[in-house]
Amino acid sequence: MINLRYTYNTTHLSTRSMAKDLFEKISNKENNENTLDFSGIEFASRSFMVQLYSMLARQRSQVRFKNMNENVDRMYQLAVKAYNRPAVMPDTMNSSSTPELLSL
Amino acid sequence: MTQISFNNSSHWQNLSHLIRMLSALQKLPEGDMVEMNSRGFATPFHVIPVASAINNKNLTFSLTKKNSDLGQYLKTIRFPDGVSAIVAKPGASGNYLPIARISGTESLGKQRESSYKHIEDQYRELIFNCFRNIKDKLSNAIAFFLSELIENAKDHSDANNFYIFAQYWPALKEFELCLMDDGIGLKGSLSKIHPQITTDERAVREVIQRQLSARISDKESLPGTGLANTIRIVSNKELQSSFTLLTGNFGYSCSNDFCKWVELGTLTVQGTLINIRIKEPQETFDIFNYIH
Repeated sequence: MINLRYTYNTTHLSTRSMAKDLFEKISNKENNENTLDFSGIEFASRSFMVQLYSMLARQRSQVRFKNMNENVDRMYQLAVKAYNRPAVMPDTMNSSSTPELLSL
Repeated sequence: MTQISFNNSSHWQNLSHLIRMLSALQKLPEGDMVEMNSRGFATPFHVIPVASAINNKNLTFSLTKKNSDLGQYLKTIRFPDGVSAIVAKPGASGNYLPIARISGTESLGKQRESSYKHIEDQYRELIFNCFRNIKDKLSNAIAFFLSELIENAKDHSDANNFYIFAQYWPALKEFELCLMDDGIGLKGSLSKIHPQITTDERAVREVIQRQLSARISDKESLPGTGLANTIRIVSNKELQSSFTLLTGNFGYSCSNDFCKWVELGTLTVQGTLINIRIKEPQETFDIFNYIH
């Protein structure tokens, strides 16, 4: 099990570099199954979570995310949704109106 | 001698005033002198870009009245040089944070990664310890802004200098956060991946359109996704807030959900400036309603 709070000495996991470093640590473990302990982690950024999840998903890693608080769990859910988003959008999807130009 | 003054008014007036100040500073030769009107009211939105301009051009600045309130404030926040995040701490009254800055060797090589992570962690803790009301209601939003915007500056700006500064006004119940780098700007970073982006206007429109249209296909590692989500968070009907992005000679600015592209004419902002101002909400604000 990898305790992220102590491994990275932070309560906020926020960079893609951190995610890549963590992925390497997981990949270097002898068996592919691993547990990431999010105890003490108050927040995980979108960049971190999307980067980590996409790397693990592509490798089909057997990794468990444990002790995620609500914030971290919601960001994890966003990352899962982003990874599984369809490449083609339906025609009914709207775009908002374009802002006007301010010339100063 | 050129004289400038800090000011605080409506969002659009603040933006116009900033552009006038930066235009005046742009015309000055290296090493010249600038005088600051001591009757002004300084906000991060004005302080940071003026500090960056003064430092980049090695300008000398003076105040019309040295011992004015503004003079004391600027001294407390360590204007214009800022301090390293390692030594940053609140001013004596506990209400003011200093300008934090990454510069010199801190911005180079292997140190770059740790310097930017350190400034993010330190400044977030400073904001939360100094401005407790903000921590209660906006902690996720602030953590999100800092993580996304600081990482953008680290990964995409190629900047020698990075500044961050925040202020909370209890009487107004408003919080303002300003970040700025003196790097290659959005055009410089986007054109590395998309060579067809050759103007600042095209770069800004490309990034901003991500939040206006779900049809743009994007890869996570491209600059702009964190910024687009930040804009969604601050320009909506739920939060009373303003947002400004200036890079090169173009920009984008919002007051609540009313947004405009900004043409800067002959002014060129070196690097990228982002400013966010939020009125303290009544209840805890949920960023997950706005992140895509």
